[in-house]
Amino acid sequence: MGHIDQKHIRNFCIIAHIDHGKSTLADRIIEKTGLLTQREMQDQVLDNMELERERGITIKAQTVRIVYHAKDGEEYIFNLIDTPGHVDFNYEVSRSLAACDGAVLVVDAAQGIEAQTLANVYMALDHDLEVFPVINKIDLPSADPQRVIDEIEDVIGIEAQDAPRISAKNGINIEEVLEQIVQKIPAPVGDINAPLKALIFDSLYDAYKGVIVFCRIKEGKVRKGTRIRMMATGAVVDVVEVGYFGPGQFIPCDELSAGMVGYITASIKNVKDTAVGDTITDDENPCDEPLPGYKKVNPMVYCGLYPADGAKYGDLRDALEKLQLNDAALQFEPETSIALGFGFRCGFLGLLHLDVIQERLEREYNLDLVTTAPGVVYRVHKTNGEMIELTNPSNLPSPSEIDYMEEPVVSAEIMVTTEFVGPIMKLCQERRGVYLGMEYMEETRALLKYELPLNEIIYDFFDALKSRSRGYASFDYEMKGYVRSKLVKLDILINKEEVDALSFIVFEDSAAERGRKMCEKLKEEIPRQLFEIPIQAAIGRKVIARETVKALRKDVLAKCYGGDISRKKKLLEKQKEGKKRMRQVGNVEIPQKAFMSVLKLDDE
Amino acid sequence: MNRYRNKQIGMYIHIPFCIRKCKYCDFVSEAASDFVHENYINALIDEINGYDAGQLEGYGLRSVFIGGGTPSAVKAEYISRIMTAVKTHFADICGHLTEITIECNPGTVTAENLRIYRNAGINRLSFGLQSAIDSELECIGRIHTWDDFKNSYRLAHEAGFENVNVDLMFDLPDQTMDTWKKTLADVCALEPKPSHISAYSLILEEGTPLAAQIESERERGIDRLADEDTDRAMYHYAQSYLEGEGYHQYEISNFAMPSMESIHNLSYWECREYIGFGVAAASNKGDMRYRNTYDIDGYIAGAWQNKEDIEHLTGKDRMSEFVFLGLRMTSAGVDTEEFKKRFDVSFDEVFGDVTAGYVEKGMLSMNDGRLTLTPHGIDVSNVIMADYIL
Repeated sequence: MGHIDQKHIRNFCIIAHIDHGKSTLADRIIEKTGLLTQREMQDQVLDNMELERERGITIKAQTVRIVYHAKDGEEYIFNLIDTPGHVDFNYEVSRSLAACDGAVLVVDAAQGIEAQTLANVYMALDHDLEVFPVINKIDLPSADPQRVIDEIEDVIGIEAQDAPRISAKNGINIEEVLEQIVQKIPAPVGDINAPLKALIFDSLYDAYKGVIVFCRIKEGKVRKGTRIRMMATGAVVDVVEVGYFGPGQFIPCDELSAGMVGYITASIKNVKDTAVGDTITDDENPCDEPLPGYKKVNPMVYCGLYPADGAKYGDLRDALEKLQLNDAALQFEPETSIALGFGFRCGFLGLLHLDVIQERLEREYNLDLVTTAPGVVYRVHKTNGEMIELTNPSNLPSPSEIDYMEEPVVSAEIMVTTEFVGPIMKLCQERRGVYLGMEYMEETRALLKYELPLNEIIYDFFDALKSRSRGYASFDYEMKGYVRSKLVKLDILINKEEVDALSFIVFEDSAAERGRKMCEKLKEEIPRQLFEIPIQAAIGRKVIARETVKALRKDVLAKCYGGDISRKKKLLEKQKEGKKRMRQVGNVEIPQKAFMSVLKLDDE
Repeated sequence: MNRYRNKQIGMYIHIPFCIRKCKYCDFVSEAASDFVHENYINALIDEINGYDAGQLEGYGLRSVFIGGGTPSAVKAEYISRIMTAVKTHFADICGHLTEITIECNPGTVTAENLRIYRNAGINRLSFGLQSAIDSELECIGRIHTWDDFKNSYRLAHEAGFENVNVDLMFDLPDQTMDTWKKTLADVCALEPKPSHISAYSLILEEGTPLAAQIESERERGIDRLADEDTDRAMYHYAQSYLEGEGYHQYEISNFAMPSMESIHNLSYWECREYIGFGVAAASNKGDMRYRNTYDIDGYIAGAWQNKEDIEHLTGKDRMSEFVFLGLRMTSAGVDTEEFKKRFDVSFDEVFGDVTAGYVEKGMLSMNDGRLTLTPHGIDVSNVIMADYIL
C-alpha cells in the first residue's frame, strides 16, 4: 500500500458533555462512510482481516479509520479517535486530543453548554485543535438550536452560526457534519522524511501480539523491522507489525507515515513500557526531542483490596498483574491488615477507575473482594523535615512526629441553573469548598468555581450535586495541588480493639460527625453476638462516638423432628457459612461488607 | 438400659388433612372431602404393604406416631385400618411396640373416635391446644376454644388415655406474659394433669398467611409479636413453672412427668432410624435419608413409590447430627461414649476444641461424659450447634 496524501487525512475526535450524543454521532459517521479506499479493496486486505477475526482480537478504544467520499469528489481518510469520557481519565483525554488535529463539539440542542462541554472545549483549544460545533437532538420538543448557537458564541467564543443542526439518533444532517470535517478540520502536517516522532495515545495488551501501541505519527515513518525507542521509558524494541484500525479489527499495513494514526506491535510484554503520552522514535535515527506534555500518571485514590477468602490471595495478585498489563495507571503493592489478612493497597485515577477495576476483578476473575474505604494521598510533613505520601491511614506516624499535613485539592467548575445556585453553594461549603467566583452563562445559568478538597468529592459529591439540583447541575474538576489542612486519623474500636482496616483520615472539624455516623452504620452491619459489643470512634485515645451492639438473646429452633432434620441442618450449615464469611477481629465476627460501610455514610 | 440400644426403629405416619388450615402452618396439609381421605388412606396402606419388611429383620419397632395435618380430622376407622396394616405387615417387629401416638385437634374428637383409637392400640394422644385464651386461638386460625379442649380432654381421660401431651405456644400475636401464665396455669390445673407438655415459640414460616399478615402490619408500624426479651421471659417462666408443677424438661421445648417422655420423639434426637409413610414423610434408614412427595394427588396416584431428596449421610453428617440433635436433649445431652461407639473416634478428637470454648463461656457443660446446653446455651443454641457442623 502506498502513501496516502496528508491532504486527504483528517484526524479528529468528538467531544461532548455526557449524554449529549457523542457515541451516537460516532456510530452515524461510521455508518455513512466506507471502511476501505478503492485501492485497498484490491490489496487483499480482506484476507488479513479474516486472520484477525479468527484470532478474535477486538479493539479496546473506539478509534477507527474510515473512508469518506466527499462532495468535492475526493476520498478522505478519517481517523476518529475516541476519548475517555470521565474526569478520572483526564490525562488520557489530553493525550487523545494531542493525537488529533480537530474536534467536533457536540452540544445538546435543549440543554446547551454544560460543565464538561466547557472543560472539553478548553482542553481541545489548549491543544491547538480546530473545534467546530454540532447542535444535536434538534428533533427534541424542547430543542432551541439558535439559543444554543448564541450561547456557544457568547460563552466559548467560537463561530457557531453555520453549525450543523442534526439528530444523530435519527440520522438527520449527518452529511453536513462529514463535509464540515473535511472543510474545517485541517489536514495533518509533518515531514515524512524527518526522524520518526510518534505520540502514544493508548495501548492495549493482547495475548497473541503483546502490547499494541496506539499512536499518531507526527513526523517520519515506521514500518516492520524498524528499531524503535520509547523516549520516556527508554524501552527499545523491533517493530513486528504496523497497521490501522478497522471497526473491530486491526488491519496490518506496510508503513505508517507522518499524519497517520495507527498501531504498532513489537512483542512488548507490559504496557508500562509504553506509557501514554510517551514519544516513539527511531532508535538509529532519533528525533531531537520528544513531543511535549508527557507526564507520569499518578493514582489519586487508594484503597485496600483483600480477597474475601484468604486462600485466594495468589489469585488476586495474578489478576491484578494481568489487569495492570492493560492499565498502566493501576498500581498495587502487598499490604497486611490485622483484620483482613493479606491483600493489596491499590492506587487508582479516581473512584470510577476503582469501580471498573473492582468490577473486572469480580466478574472476569471471579474473585470475591473486601474493599476498604478509598482515600486520597495525603502529604505528611514530619518534624524531622521528612515528607511522606500517605496512602494507607494505618501508616500515619504518631502525632508527636507530625509537623503538619496537606491534602490534595481540585478546582471545580459547576454549571447550574440559577435557581439552584443557593443549594449548590451550600453543598460546596459543607464540603469545605473555597469559593473562587461565579459567571453567568446566560440569565438562567451560572458557572460556579470552587476549590474543593479531593477527599470531599471522591465519595458521593456527584450524587449530592445531582440531588440538590434535581439533576441539573453538571460538574468538572482538575487537580490543583496540595494545601495545608487540619487532618486527624479516626480509629474505630470494636469491642475495645482497634480495627486497622476501618481507620480513615478526616478533616478535624468533621471527625465527630463522621465518627458518629460510622458507629451507627457499623451497629447496623454487625450482627448481634453472644456478648455485648461496644463500637467506638476515637481520635488517638479520645473516644468521640459510641454505639453498642446488644448481645444476642435468642437464636433457637423451637422444633426439630424427623422430617425437619435435613432442613434444620441446612440452616445450621448456612449459619456456619455466614460465620466463615465474617472477619474475626479479637472475638468479634465482622461481616465483610462492614468494611465498605464507610462509603455509604451519605445522609442526603 | 442403654438408651442407644441398637436396631430400635420408629415409624411416622402422615395424615395431611385438616378441617381448616391454621394461619401459621407450613406443613403439608389441606382441607379435603372424605372421598379424598379414603383414596389417600388406600394409597397409604399400599405404601405400608409395599414396604420390604425383610429389610427390618432384627429391628424392634418401639413407637408409631400418627401426625399431620390433623389425623383426627379423618374417620377414625381409617386410622384403625392403618394400624391394622402396620401390625399385620410388620408383625415380626411389633413385639416391643410400646408407644403409639395420634395427634388430635380439640373439637375433632368424640368418645366414639377415641374408643376406636384405643381399640387400634393407640395409647398416647397429642392435643394441639396452643393457648387457653380464645382470642389468641382465633388469631392464629385455630377452630377450637378452651372449652372445646376441656371437653376433648375429659373424653380422652374417660376413654382411658393416660399418656396425653398438650402442645402450647408462646410468642403468639397479642399474647402477654400474663396470658401466657394463665395458659400454663389452666393447663396444669386440668384433672388429671397432662403427662407431657410441649411449649413452642411461634415461628413465622415464610409463605403462611400469618407471616404475610404480620409482615404487612409491621410495614404499617404495628408489631403484635413479643420482642426477644419477652419471648425469653415467657420461655424461662415456662421452664420454672412447669418444673414446679412436677414436670422435668428433657428437650428444648418438651416437658414430661417422670418417665413419660415421648419415646418416638426421643428417637429422633438420639439419631435412631425411622421410617415414614404418607405424603411428605421422611425416613432415615442406615445412611440414607429421603422423603415422599409433597404432592397429595401425586401420592394417591402412586408417587409414594418414588423417594425424593435422597441424602446419603456421610460419617461427618452423622457426627454433626448426633451432636446437634443430642444437644436438644437438655437433660440427657450428647452421650460421648455412645459417640465413640458409633463413630469409632473419640468425641474430644473431633469436637474437643469447640466444646472447650463453649464450656468456658458457660454455654455448654460436660458431666459424666454427657454434653448439655446450659440455660444460657439453650437460648442461643443455634450459634453453638452451627459450630458442630462438620
